[in-house]
Amino acid sequence: MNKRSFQFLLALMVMASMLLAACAPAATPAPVKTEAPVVTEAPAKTEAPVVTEAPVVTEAPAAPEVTEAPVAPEEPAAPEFNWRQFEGQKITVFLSETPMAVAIRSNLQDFIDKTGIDVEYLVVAENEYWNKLTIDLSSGAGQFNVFMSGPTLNWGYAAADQIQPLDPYMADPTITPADWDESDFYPWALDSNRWDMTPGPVGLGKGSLWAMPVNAVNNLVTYRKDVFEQLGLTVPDTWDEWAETARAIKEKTGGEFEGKPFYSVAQRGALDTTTLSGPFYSGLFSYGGRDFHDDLSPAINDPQSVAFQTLYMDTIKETGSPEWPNMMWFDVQQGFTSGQFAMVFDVGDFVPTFEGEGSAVAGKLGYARPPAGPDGKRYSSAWTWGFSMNSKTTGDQAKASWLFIAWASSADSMVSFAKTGSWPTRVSVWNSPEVTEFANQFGNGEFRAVFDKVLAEDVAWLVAPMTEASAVEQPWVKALQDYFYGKGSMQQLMDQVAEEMTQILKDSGTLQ
Amino acid sequence: MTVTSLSPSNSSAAPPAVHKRTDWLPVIMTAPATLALIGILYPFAIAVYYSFTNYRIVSKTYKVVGFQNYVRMFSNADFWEAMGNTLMFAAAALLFELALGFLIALLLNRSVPGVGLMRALLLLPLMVPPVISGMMWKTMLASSSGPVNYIFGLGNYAWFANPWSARFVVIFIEVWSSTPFVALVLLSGLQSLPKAPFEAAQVDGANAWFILNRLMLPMLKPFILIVLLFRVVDVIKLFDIVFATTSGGPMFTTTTIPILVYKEVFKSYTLGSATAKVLMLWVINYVISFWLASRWRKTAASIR
Amino acid sequence: MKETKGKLLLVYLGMLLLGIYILAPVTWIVMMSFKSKIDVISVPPKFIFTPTFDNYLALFGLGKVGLLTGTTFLSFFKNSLILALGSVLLSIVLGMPAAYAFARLRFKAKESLAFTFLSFRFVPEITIILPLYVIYQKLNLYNTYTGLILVYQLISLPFIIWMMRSYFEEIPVAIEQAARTDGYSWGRTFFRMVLPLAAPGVAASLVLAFIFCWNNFIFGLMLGGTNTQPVTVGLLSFMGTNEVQWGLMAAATVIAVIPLMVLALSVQRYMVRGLTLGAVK
Repeated sequence: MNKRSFQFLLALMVMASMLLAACAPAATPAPVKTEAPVVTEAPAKTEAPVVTEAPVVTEAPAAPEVTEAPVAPEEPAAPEFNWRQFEGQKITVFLSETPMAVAIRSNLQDFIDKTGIDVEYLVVAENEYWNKLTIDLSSGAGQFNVFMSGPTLNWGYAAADQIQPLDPYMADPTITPADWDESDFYPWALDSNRWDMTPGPVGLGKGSLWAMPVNAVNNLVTYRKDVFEQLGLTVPDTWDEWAETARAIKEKTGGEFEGKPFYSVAQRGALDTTTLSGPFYSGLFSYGGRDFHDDLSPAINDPQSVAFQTLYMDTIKETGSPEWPNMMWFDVQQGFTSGQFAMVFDVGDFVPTFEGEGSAVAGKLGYARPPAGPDGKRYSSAWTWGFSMNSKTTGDQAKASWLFIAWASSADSMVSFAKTGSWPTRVSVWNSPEVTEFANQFGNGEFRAVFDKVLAEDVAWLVAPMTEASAVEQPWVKALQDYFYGKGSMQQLMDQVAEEMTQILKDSGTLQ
Repeated sequence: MTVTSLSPSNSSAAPPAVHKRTDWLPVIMTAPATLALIGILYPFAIAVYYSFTNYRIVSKTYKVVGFQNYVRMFSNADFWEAMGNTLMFAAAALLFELALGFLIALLLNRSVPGVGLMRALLLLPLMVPPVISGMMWKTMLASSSGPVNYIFGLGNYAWFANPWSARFVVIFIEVWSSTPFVALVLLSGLQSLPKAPFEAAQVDGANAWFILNRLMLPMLKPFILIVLLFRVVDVIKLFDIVFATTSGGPMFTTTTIPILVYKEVFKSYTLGSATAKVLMLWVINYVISFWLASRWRKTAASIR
Repeated sequence: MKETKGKLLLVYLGMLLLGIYILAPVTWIVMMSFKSKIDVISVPPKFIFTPTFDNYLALFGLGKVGLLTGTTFLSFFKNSLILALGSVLLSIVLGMPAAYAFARLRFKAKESLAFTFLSFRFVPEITIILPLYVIYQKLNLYNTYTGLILVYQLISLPFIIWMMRSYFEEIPVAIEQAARTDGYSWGRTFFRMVLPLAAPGVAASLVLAFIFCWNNFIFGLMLGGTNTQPVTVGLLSFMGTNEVQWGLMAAATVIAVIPLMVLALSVQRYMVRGLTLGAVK
């Protein structure tokens, strides 16, 4: 008995010592963290860029590349841009686990060296990222000065004053480098991040800029050239042809290709808002449908909306994978990469994976613009990853945060993002030799040619901005699944959803 | 949190005290734990308050709306469907976990070579975090690339696309990852049982059913109850596995209350009404656990 | 109990089935961790493939799989170790006296108090996350081991209290009374008699509490930051926005299980010793 108790205590002690050992090296980083910028009254406004401190280091605005060769200015420069003007500031950046975030992490030291601003960052997987961000913002803590964001979620954050407009910073030449050229951005990229807080389609593209877009997530058709050639099919140019082609593939292959199960179309379908993202909205609007009317009445049960959704869902039901109701975006990407599907209408950011080393379909792919609707309209619904700034961030820290945003949205940074497949929002970057070369490796230049057209002609922001954007998608996704299982006609189901949507808007006070 | 009197007032059920006249002792002994947990009362109280407001986490203002969230919840079909799923999953998962856990405990309650290894292996499913467990099972049950369909020759059956098989699979994964806990607690219970009655029964030539039903189960009852006490709460809170495999679909067939609430908070932002729904789970858990705890109290006392 | 040959055969058959049931999914994860990207998504699934160590190498920052290089996985790992061990130790310190008091002492509102401890587990964590987040920011507990260990008490403390209580109650009071009448001090009785007797149960509860803390995800995600994020949050970071790094996720899962397995195997001996416990009754 004695021995037993001794051994038990020994085990406890081992555990304790393991803990102590593990604790030791980590003892330092703990407390300092939360010096949250709660400076609400902002008294510091007057002390403009501190230029007085001895050897002021400014950079020649003409040479953006120069980091190590500072040129001392002859005269006490007044409103001139200077990367080091907020040296010593500390900002916290929150990133979603994206290829872009990987690029940011590897370039971050450049920014720190260039500006002397201390950057702390946190990276979390996308789904959890949004959750944590939402909690941080709505709790009022606001510990992340700068974070990745995009249109849909920003509307909620903007309406609650949780993020601040970026226009004043962008317009300030003392904190925006001269070579940071606003006109270089695709107009839709900035517009899709502007909202004047009027709920519904009318406020679209107007008002303040809530995020600085750096990664354009746009849609295109990717298809199996080998399969299409073998079956004697051509790539569809309209949504009706898309449905016909899908049926033809199903008929000709009998649901099998090279001895494996084979489906015509890969689209998202899980009971999640992912199902109602870019690809779906592109089709809906191309076909003449829409989500909301200008007066905020739901348009999902309009004839054209119903027509598209019926076409889309029937095609998926008849020619897609039986797993559709459970397919997240990564199932779509993975299913197509593993060679189970003939075509996919989804984001261009998947293309490097489709054509990458781990893909069963690399080198066999063709590309096409989004299918057009009956009257020739052709849209790719724009979504962008960008950077937003917390409204709690004020004074010099806000300006330092803006410097980070300006750096991350500079042409140089965007080139490095683009080379991970995070396609740029700047025209010059898309056309730069490096990105052109990178994009040209996919489909012998076909991808680039097609995507170039998409970026130039097809992209538009479509989804009606409102704080309830993802709330109204909840009954909508469910109705699509209901249709998949034959629980009613599309008209009937959409009428119901329209009612629910109106109720949601009434509950939140948007509709009276 | 309400503190309701639970103790059976008849003092015969209470254990005979070892220490007498030590009024200060219980206070000192429970004080550290009480202090540690009092901290949690504050956020909980705030949560209760939210449930009486129309708080949307993306609005600047919100107001108290009384019982509106509760009233509307009870007339909400989604809520009832999710509640049905929650209770169905909980009941099914508990049943399988108990039955299987008991069998495993019986199997491993002996000293033959290899048992130690099996006991250690038993912990493996517990060690895979549920959310990863869910994701890995999703790959295993994938229609074309998954090993399950391939090994059992099921073609390209889509497990997660059929409402009933989706439910079954979610329960199955939950059972896979939690049965070891049940088995382990019951095993340590079996090990603590006195040997004499069993030996006597064997000498008397009692059959296996008698030993199981009249000796083992009654003596094991406190352990069964305590394992239930812990499992009930967790299966009613079932979230990770569902979220990683079906996100509540197809349609609504695997949407549990925690899934519904999660989507309300993070997609619809309606924290007020979401909290009301979550507090319903609290009530259910409270009632069930209260009953289990008092049963446990009684059986534990009667055995001694 | 003596086993006949036939029964022994049945026992081993049962153990074989149990082994398959437990190990089949685990095997799949282990296999996945040695697969290259193309093998992971292969149709039909591959059971024979050329194993690659790329995933493991990448985890330790030595190689490159896809876009992720030199992940900070090891620091996640260290954080989890600190958090889980710290939480369990704190739970023992806080919970063991309480558990013993609940098991042995008679006092007012005992059952209500014990039940209240349990009742903190009743609500999904999501309910209290928002208020907790605010409090943690204000008290500077956010992104600290202390803060997370405190909130992990929600998981481990009720568990430890209730499990230990039930094990303590299993020990006949007579043994203790005998020891006390023999002149043993109270502390001596507890540490020399009660605790050793309850050891198998206590060991099992400790291991389980450790695992439950280790597996927690939501607290680590919401209340932890760069310095304190546990391994569960790290595992999900292999779910990138453009693709899921299955190979890496599997390899990371395998590595994350190893310390738990070591812990389980080392405490296993105490659980086995419990076999003799019945003898004292």
